[in-house]
Amino acid sequence: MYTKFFKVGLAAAVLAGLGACHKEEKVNVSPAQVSASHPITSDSLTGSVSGTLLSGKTYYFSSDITINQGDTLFMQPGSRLIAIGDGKTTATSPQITCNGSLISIGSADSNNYITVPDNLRDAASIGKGLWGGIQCGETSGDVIIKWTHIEFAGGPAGPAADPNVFAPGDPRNSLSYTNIDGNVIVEDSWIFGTSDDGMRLLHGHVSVMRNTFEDCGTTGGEGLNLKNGCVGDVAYNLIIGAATNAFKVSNSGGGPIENKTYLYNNTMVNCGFRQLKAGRGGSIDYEKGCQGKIYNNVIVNCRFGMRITPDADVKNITYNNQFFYGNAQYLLNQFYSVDGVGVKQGADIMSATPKDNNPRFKIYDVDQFDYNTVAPPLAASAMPMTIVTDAGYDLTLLQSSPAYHKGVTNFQALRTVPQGGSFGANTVDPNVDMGAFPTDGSGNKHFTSSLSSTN
Amino acid sequence: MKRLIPLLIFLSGGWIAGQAQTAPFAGTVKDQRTGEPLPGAGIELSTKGADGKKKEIHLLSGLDGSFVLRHIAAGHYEVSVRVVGYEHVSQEMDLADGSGKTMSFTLEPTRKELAAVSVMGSSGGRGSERGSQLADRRADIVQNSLSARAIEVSPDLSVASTAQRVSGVTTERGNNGESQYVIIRGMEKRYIYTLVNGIKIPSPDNKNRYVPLDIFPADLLERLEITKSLTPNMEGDAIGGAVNMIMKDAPAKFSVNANGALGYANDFFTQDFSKFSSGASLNRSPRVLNGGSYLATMKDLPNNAFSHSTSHNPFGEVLGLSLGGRLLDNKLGILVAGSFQNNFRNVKSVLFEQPDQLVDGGLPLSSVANRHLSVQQQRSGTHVRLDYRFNDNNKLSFYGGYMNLMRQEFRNVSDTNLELNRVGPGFGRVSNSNRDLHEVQQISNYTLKGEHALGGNFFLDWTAAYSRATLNNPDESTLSWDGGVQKDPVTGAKVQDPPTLQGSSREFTHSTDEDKSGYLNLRYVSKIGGASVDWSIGGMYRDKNRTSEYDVYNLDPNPGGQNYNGDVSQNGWVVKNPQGTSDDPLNYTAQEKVGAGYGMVKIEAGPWLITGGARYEHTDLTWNSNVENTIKGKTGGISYYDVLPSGNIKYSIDRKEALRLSYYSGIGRPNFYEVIPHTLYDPESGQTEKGNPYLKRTTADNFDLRYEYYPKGLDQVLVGVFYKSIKNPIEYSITNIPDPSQPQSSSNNTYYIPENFGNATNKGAEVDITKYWRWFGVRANYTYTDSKIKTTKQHTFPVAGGTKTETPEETRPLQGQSKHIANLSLLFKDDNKLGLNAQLAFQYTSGRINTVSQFYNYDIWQKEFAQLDFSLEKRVAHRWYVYAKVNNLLNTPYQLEVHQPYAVGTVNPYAPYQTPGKNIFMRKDTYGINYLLGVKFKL
Repeated sequence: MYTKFFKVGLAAAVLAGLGACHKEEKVNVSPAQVSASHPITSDSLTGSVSGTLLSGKTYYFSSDITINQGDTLFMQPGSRLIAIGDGKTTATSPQITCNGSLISIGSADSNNYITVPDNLRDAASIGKGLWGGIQCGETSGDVIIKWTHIEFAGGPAGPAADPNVFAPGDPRNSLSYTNIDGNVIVEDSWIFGTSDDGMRLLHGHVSVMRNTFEDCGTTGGEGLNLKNGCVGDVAYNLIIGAATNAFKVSNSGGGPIENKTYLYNNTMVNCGFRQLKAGRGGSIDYEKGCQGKIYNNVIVNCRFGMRITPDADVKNITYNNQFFYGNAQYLLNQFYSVDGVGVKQGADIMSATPKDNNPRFKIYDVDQFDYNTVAPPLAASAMPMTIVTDAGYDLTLLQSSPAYHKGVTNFQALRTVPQGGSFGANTVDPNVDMGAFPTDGSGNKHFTSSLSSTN
Repeated sequence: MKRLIPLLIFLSGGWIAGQAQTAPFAGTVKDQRTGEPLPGAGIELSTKGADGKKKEIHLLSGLDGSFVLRHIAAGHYEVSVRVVGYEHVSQEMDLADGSGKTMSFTLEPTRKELAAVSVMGSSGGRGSERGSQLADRRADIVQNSLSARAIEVSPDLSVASTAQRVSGVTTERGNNGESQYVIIRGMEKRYIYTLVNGIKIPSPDNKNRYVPLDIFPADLLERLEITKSLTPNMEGDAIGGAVNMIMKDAPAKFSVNANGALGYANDFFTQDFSKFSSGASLNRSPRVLNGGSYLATMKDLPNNAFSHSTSHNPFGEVLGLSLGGRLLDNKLGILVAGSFQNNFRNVKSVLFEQPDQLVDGGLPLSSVANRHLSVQQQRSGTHVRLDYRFNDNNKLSFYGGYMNLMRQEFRNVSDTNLELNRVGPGFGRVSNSNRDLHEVQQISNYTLKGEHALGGNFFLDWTAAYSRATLNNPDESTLSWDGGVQKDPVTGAKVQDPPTLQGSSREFTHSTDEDKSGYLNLRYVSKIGGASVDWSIGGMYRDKNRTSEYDVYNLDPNPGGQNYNGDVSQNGWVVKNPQGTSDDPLNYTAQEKVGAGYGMVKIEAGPWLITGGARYEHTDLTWNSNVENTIKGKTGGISYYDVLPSGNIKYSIDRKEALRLSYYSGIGRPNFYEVIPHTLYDPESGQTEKGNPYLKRTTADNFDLRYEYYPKGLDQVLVGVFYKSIKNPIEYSITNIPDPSQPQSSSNNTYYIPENFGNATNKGAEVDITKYWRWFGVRANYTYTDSKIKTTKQHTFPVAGGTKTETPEETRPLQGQSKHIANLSLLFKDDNKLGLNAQLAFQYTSGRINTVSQFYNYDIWQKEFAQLDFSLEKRVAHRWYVYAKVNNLLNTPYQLEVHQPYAVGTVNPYAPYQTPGKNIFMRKDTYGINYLLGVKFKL
């Protein structure tokens, strides 16, 4: 009798076991709302935009505008895009959200502008972050910027900001790029007076050639900040008066693609003095897991010189032929930052004593500001405009310069982005001269501040 | 005199001789049906003294049912024996001088059960250890429980710390060292649900489902049940098991219990307790209070929280009161109880962080921090339980409970960067921060239940319940400033950095979770042949509504370049994002509707007890997040159903031995925030965390086999094995799939995302032994658990020309699973002469994964630990007791490590606390020893 019950029970249990049923989840998720882009029909841009900004015309935006995935916003030579904002809140510092492609093709004669109204284009607007910069999503298309002035970006980050890049309220950069498979080409352009980093490229293929970064960052912030997954070339740039480093290269965040940056023939002047935190960099900083080549750079009066930290991919960083100048002993002491593993290389040229080995630029007095008279960190007001912006200088080397013909040309650029034509890069290999302005004129073409251009 | 004797005994600390003309009197009390001894039986001897006045002597039977009175005056006595739940017995006897007497009493049970596990009616004794053992023995399922009395005399104050005394249970601790969540047989909190009187309760957590058990004061419980298998009438999302808190019920006789105690932590001999006032802070975020367009200023974010003061010797308090009894001819039962616990702790820790990128041969540590914590916790609970018995067939009961846990925490961290500026010991970048946190978690639960015998062998019960859990963590304030020591490039001297003020952040977190639920069960009792067969069907429906709000306001020093000298009133600030963070994905609402029905049959035939059936559960979750509508999944829903069969077979070998075999199918629902799409960058780990709406629920087939042996009294031997086959376990891992709906898509970015990982298994064995002698008892249990799961990790290694990153699979135990868990408690119990209860509780937990690292072979393990706690209760006068609880006698630290030998590389030889070749030291927290001394009154 009991056995029978047991059998029945067992059978029931077995049947029950077979009867377990877990219905597949029905998932219903709202799609990303993309407001259809509209063609550009007036000079006020709002919402999703797609199309062409015409030569000689000026366009305005006072709230965020978006370039949808697949769309392109194309700026013809001589077009101007003006942000209306005050930088006080996210809503009053509009940004360009780029999920598609942004192509701004200015020319040497007809520059393009992405900036603020003319009456605000002055020293008083530096660091105010009057608009929110160009913020690219992780599926963004290519960004191609040539002969374009990007000025006074910053503005606190808010709802449209990528949480990977900004915490709420953080000042935004002129350009942030996050598509690891995308291309960023920035050439012959000016980045001026940002609140924080001039440009922060978190991932992507990059070619940053012949640009001028002026007075980037307020109490912190780099000129150009390259993070993990960036691979490419950075050359012939002039960085003047950046708050912290001119160039910070770091693989922080890890990821499958190691940062590999070829940094050569750049000129850095008066960088690193506004960073409040002690022991940060002031010119070239290779950190955490990144690799690359560092050659032919000219570092003049920067708070720190070369810094390669122990956690960088030191084995795969090669460097030499740097030019270091300082007019105060404490600058000389940090030509190679003492907390780094970088050491003086055979072909480096250094001031042995303050003011020794003047680089002999065509028009720039390296001793116009005596760093013996100050103790960093410096307030913005303690640095005259003439040492943080390009006040009509020509940093081309004289033939008598100790840096003349002291560069190496034994390697080629990585060329990770498409080359040639209007939309391709014009990536230039290292020069026999050091710095961004070699004597053969193949380097940086800028001889004025961004603000003094109006064409 | 009667009252003085125990006191005198206490004072003399031992035995004293009684009067001259005496005789010994001894005996045992047993259950008539089973022949088992009955511990805790009340034996009353009454006689008329020489003066004609009535004299009474009371005593209680020991743990083995025996009693001894060594000295009693000769005379004529009426002896009556009472055990709640048994018929009362009385007998007369004559005691002559010098000649002893031995008497045995056998009592007939009066217990009438309406339901299997939930014990109905006025049968008291449920809070006794015997009651809890009976509940376990009679349960249809595999469960272990602890009685109110066991909890009372244990060293534990909260339900979470009590739970770890149960076999197979370990706990996860909060940052003050107190137990917070349970892990049952290596299955972590996501696989466990929490019940109050059988009703599931919501969680105050703003992301997850699980309920922190440290909210509940242990002294409100009548019994704590840890359920390890399910029947069809129980909800199915308990792959690990369920924690059921059976709250105190109205006792048969009027009773009063009161206790009060003072607590002290030994750390305060040498250090002060840091405190702050949260009074001036807003209670909700400025955006929530003033509307979405409001721009906050520093007026909304006063800096008061950063002004600290100290207490020299903070004393904690414990207060408890419970009153109960039956009125209106025993028809109405009332119990009102309240509990208040206030404690202070200092915690010291040193902790390392993993870098956001780890390359083979590279530095495995990014920073080392010294952390100091001063934590005050106030735990309070009140509840009311009423029941009204209209007649033998109809009963209505109400439970209302409100629990509140307030935490006030000051945290100071001084964090030294090991990657940058670390040119030698004593050098480096230092980031300092103070964080002040004031948090209130509340859970309330109101339940109305009716039980009806419908006649014709039909029984019906129904329950209507409302529960609400809230979390409010307003104005969590963090202040950061720089420090550090640089190396002078010329002299090599140490140059102290100025304390440059960095940012400040103010976070406002608020969350509510509200459940409305109804339950209906119908039972029909039949006889088929010689077997009694119970048929039951029933169902439940729950409507859950959850709302989460989160704002963070980031502040910058204004002007920049200020130093912090410890007095924040000297510093000026500006709010960087005055509008708050309304679009943060932690601003969301979610609804979950669960409907369930079941059919179950229970067959009792001779030695066989077979329970089986199936449960149907339908789940429908919808959400609405406040993120921008340009983000996919701003709103969404997930629905599914499960049919969950289960069966339990119990075969009683004889009266004392039984075998149980059980199977159940269970599920584990993903947590709310895991499925709601969100992107969160964690600057500490350098990882981007994403939500995954395509996350499947976990399902599992669970098997248990247990042998039970109850030799006599409270003695027991339980031996069992279990096996769980788990499908789609949920774990966080690194992936390069940006959109989980398109698994074929891939990118070169990586994300940290909750995902399903194929199949995992968890198997183990348990032994639970209890043995009592008259005054002395040993309780021991041991659990072996072995689980395996395979997940993908990140592995970066040097190759020619750079590094390469792969995502290999790694097999490891489930997070939180310890291979060996052992408990050993030594008990001393004499309720008669000495009125002394003492307990020494030892617990051992072997190593377990504390944090799953994203890096291959770098999981962070908690080191094995052994903890010792002690408690004592001593009667000092009739109805008066003193008691003491000492926690963490060995000052056991919480230690974390990575199972990789620490290598002194060229990269950085200057990490403190590390020993080359030994496991990488990650963290050590010490909590100190805590004492509690108090007085109890019981009527």
